[in-house]
Amino acid sequence: MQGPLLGVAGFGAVLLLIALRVPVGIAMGTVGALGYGLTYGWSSLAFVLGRAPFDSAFPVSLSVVPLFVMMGVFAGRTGLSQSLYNLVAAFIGHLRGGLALATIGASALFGAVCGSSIATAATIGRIALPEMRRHHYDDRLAAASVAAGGTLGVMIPPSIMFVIYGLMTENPIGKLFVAGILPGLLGVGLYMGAVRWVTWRHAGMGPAAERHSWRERLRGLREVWQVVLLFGVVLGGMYLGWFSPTEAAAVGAFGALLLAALGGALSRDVLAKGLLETAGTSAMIFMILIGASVFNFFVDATGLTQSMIQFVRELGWGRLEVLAAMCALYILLGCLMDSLSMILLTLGAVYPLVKSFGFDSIWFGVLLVTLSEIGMITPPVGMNLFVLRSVADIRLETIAKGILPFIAADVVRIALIIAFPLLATWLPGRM
Amino acid sequence: MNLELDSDPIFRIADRAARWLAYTGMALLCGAMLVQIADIATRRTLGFSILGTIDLTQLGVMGCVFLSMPLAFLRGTHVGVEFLTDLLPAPLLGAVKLAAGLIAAAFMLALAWYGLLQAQIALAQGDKSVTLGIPMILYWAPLLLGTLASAATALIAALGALRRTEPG
Repeated sequence: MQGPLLGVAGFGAVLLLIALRVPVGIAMGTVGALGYGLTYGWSSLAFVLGRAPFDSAFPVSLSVVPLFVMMGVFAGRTGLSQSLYNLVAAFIGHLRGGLALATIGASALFGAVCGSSIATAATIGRIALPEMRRHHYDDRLAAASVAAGGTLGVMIPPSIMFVIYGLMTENPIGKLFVAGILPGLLGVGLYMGAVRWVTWRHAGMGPAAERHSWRERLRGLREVWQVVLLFGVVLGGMYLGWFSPTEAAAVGAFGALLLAALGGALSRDVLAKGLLETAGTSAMIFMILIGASVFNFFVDATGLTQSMIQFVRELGWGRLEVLAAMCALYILLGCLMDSLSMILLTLGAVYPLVKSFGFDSIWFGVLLVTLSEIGMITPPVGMNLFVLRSVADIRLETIAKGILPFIAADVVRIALIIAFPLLATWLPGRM
Repeated sequence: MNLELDSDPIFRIADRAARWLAYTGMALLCGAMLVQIADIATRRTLGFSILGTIDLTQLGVMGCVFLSMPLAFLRGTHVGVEFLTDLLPAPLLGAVKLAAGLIAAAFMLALAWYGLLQAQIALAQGDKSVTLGIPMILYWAPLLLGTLASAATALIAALGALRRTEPG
């Protein structure tokens, strides 16, 4: 076996190892190394294995990854999320399904200071789920709104996923961040629509909570100034050219630590746990990056990408067919593996196809991240579903039953992004 | 963390060592963060940049990434898929966990070994960073230490997981 066929077998081998509990980064790296050795000889492999880890962490632009992770971790550990939830619940909690709507809103606001879907779902889930249970919300709606809301953390800037996509495809991270704003807001609207639809059909699933006075609402507004400040400085600074995305990450991490310290929330315990959480998440992301780097050496060596482009051309497919096939591929893969791994595993092969068909790379980044969000909430490997199971001990089946309206909302969002590319390209075009 | 593993002296020593490595990595990252903040502040207020900001940021990130890895292996932070094998009988599940751990340990060991060869080349050629002239071997050091320690913690975690799946 050689050439493109070996490349296809490599993808199969990675999926097999992943199914056998091998961590995703290790699976990609091991198959990549063996495949590269078979293709180019074992002496060349020594250079790849020696350089890949170094080159996967050395570029200065990669400093945004651990620093944005740190920003999100400390924003979540210092009470910002509670203030956000209280604020949104004060305004709309009295509506039918209002606390689920508040969960979506608070997740979107928290996503503005945290670039991770899992962290957003876990942080908001710890606050929102007990509150919804206290108000006799159905577990299906409560858990699904947290899981779906968590995905907004990936789309609303700053987003770790956009950073990785930008670095792998050499697209400007600042533009990608800005491109995610409108689709992110669209996601908020559609998810809220899904909640309203569910509670319109089954009123008992999301009873109205008590109405808050305007005084309480204004007090809530005063409590979230920190989030507004942090988001404003990080994104505004980039948009206005005060600093680069790399520097924005440092400003965000420093700001989150500073606000926590000034607010008296940065105890020794919080600091230690926050640092270890940042370390663990960063190590996990970079392990996948290293594995993907080795695997992509192998995929390049097999010539799979060029063969794939040629194959699609020979099929006579147009842009829409290619797009539909890619959407189907990512939705299917999203059911089987986590979104970051899915993107890193496939992007090296898929991106040249995207470019060869003339798709806008910023727009495709937004589409790809939206598709990966669906993967976060689709069973059996929707990472947010697992997070909820550990946060609130809710059965996977229960969450899966409630998640369907939100997946439908995501499908509508993807259709709109495809039909109206300006949703993703208009704002970055004005930078 | 698992209670049974908590009482295992080897696991406890490994966990403590991995935690301190991770703290060291995070200290380096925080240092890089502070240098960047200082650079932005001096650039926007005094009109000059801090020399070597990029060199120092790169050093901080290398430390953060590789010194954090052993802890991630020990605590099972790395992303994996478990639901497919969770249904296996205990002895078979134990074997699968051990095999996965061995593959991880072998891969990390390979990275450490081939990394060492590249680091020796960098040392022999006297490679230095672009602005401050920091010897490149200092950038390689966290990589070598981190990958080697990761191989060890991946193995310890695999043996611990095997013990937990043993009947009785």
